[in-house]
Amino acid sequence: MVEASDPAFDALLRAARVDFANGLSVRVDEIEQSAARGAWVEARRAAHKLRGAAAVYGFGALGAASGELEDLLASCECEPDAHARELVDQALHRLRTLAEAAPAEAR
Amino acid sequence: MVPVRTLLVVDDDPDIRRIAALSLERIGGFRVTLAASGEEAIDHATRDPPDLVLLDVSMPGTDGTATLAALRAHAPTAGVPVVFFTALVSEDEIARLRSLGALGVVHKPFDVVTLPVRIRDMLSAAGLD
Repeated sequence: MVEASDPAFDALLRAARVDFANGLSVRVDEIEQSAARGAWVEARRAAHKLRGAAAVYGFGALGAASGELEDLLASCECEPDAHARELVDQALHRLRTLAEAAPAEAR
Repeated sequence: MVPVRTLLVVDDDPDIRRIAALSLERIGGFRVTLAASGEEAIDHATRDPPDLVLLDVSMPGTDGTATLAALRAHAPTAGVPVVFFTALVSEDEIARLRSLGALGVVHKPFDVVTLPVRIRDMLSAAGLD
């Protein structure tokens, strides 16, 4: 057991955060692909997971963007209209931008 | 000497499993085993019952509540305390999870430093410290 300020623990936490950040593009790809084929439940589930994980790893803005997307997708689970699709596309774009910035933020 | 408690962390998200294990092992001093699904958790727990299961609610396949029911139905795991992980934080949802027999509920996002303290408090409250 170590103290939270232990350098070895901090290094492990930092490494985990970098790995998480480096994996974000793949996670966003998966959400985009699910949304593109109309698999809204699957996309919403993935956004929900990302929301929780991003916040745990200290990526608050990305967690918030994932939450926004999750809420939008929840409202799209029936038959989304063109306006809803546009909102989802915009939310995905914001998420993509934050995901691409995350590796530099984690270093 | 305080015995090392064994926790089974169950979550389909590998990033959550990794950081929860890091927190609980390195800060909490627990022995941690991991499962990526409800099915895997039931298999692990039946073969080697842990002192506590930290169980994600929302998983594909056998979700958290179904996993809890399965654990309760098997003699070796019937009495193992279960704490749910969930991002759903309404009082109604927490009450529902507790009514299923959960020892407690940990909200996502959790804090890596305080998570082990919360788990230890729950173990203590259950007389397992």
